[in-house]
Amino acid sequence: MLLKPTSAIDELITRCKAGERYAQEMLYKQFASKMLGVCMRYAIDKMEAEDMLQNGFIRVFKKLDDYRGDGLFEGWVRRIMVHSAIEYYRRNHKIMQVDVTEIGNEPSANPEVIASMGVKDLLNIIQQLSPGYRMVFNLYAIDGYSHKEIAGIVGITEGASKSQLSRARTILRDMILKLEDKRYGHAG
Amino acid sequence: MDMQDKEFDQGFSAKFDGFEIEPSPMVWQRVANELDGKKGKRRLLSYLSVAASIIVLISAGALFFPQKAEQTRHQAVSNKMAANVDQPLLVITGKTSTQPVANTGLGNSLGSSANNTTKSIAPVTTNVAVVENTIADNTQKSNNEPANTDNRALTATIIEPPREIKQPVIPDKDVLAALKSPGIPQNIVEQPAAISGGTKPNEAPVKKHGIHSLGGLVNILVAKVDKRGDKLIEFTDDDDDNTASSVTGVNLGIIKIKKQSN
Repeated sequence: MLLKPTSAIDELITRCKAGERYAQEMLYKQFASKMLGVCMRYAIDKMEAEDMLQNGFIRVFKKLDDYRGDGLFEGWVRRIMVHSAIEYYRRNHKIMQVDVTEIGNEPSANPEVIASMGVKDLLNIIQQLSPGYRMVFNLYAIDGYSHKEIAGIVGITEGASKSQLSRARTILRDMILKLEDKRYGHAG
Repeated sequence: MDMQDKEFDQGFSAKFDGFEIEPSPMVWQRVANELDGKKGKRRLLSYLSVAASIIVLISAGALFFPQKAEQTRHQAVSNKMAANVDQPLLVITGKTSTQPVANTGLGNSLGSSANNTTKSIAPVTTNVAVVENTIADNTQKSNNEPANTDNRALTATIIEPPREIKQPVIPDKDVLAALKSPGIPQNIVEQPAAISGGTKPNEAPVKKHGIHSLGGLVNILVAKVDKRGDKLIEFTDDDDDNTASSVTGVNLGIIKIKKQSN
């Protein structure tokens, strides 16, 4: 698994470190679409996501010297994008909602339903979450951060992270069910 | 519940694995700008506003800055004649040229030279020599008189046989006045009328200029857009060594300014 990164990307990184504009553009083009896919989950629309992407790439180029070549470069870029997205929300949406309402048992959307949905539909319902829920759900469920890490990144307690994740799931399930109802009509 | 949550999360992460969206091209531009230290995100200048500003500046400059009066007057006379006829017309003022024909086409110093003021308005350089020969007799008579009439004393229009004048040539008032001054043979005045008498008198004036200067270029560009008789803005189009073109007319609809209109 720990394959050495291709020499092509290594060379590109070296040239980027030297400040070569064309190499920077090549690097950008190689990762921009994928990283915008990440940012889209944290944003409410493409415009916001592109702002996050822009900030993220600025940071990538400025911090390139810090990249030691350990681990996949893409993973390193992705982490910077996620941080950039969180940073964006901290700056633009000061108040992180901490809704700690305990939740009972909800009707659970089964995994097949999610599998049958298009990625655009899933993106759409994630974007409808309030920023705090969206952030925690993205970080934990999709980008694989632990509650401890989330607490550090977002600036909330681990407990708050857990409860927000739980609440986010509930809301998402609810939205998925409603979507399914709309799609197939009510049975009764 | 825990298991369900995991499946739920995995359902999402599986869907978003490899999810890509093409960013708009502006994003890289903004990244590059920021790396250059430029902060501005709105760097799209409206080219229209730039063009409009240039036109306004040119107009304002032309209206408010003093013009080179004497030279411009001279040029205006030549231009005026050209404006009334179709392109292959020669307007000859003053005495015939003793300079090489090539010079009449390119005309680097004809306007400023007192005795050599043959002016080629349209690109008819090859014909100039012939025309000059034919008119030599006419103009020769008056060679001595116009010395005191500011080089505008004599005006003769000559056309080549296969081409036509679109409209009768009406000499400029100034020119007429000058021509009527004592000592000018009247037959010179008659000549343009005689020539134009055989042409179609009813056609609308068509202005065609060659490009000899920046002014000529602007004239042609304006003419493409503005189909009126009096254009939005008109410049002299002299091939003199005067690099700066002068405005000969402005037409803003309500306000019309035209230098020595017919």
